[in-house]
Amino acid sequence: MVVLLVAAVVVSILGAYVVYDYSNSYEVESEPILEDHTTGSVILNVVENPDLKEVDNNEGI
Amino acid sequence: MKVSNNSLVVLLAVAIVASVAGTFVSLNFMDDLITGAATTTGNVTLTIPSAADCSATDALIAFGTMAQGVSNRSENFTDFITINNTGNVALKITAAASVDLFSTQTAPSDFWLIHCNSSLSGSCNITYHQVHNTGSVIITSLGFADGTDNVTIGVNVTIPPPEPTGSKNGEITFTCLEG
Repeated sequence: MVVLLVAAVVVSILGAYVVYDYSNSYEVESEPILEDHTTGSVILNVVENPDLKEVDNNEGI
Repeated sequence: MKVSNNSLVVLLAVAIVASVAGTFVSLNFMDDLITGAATTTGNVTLTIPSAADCSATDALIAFGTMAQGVSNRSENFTDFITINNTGNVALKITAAASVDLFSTQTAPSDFWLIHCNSSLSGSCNITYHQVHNTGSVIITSLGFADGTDNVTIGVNVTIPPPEPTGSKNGEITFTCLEG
């Protein structure tokens, strides 16, 4: 009976100390980011170029 | 061995006090669930990992209306793509066509060129070259500290003569790696 009670006291104190000690030292770590991507856009509006129109040599024939 | 009732009472009381105290200590130091307690100090160990991270702060170049066969480039109207190094390591940035600009010309072609216009740090590839579909180096060693972490990228386009009229939209994917 006495042994059990003493053991309970020891375990309680030891448990409290372990939790206290652990909570005082957090270690935060994460993985490195090796690569990232981003995009860019190019927009424009194409219109017909009259200078590039083919000349119809047969016109009027 | 016989133990008196008084001894048992004392031992039980000690056990109860130790359990309750242990619970309070745990709650107090782990989650701050109990406030108003005396201050204490704790150690936090942080390991900051390397992060190759980038973001386009200006992602659009708009050439407006262009006739077939006509060329234009970013420098003529000061419109560039701007990329910021948002990580904590120097970057090597490559560019690749992810959506072709023209329907009659597939990248790489001389109708869609790209170069590094300027940068606040690093080695800028200022030579206009074809926008590759597999990627070409735009800059190396772009810094990450404020004031050194920007690069502007210019584009030079020539409308292929047979390109159908209408709006065109090309997309370039920039890959940022440590380097």
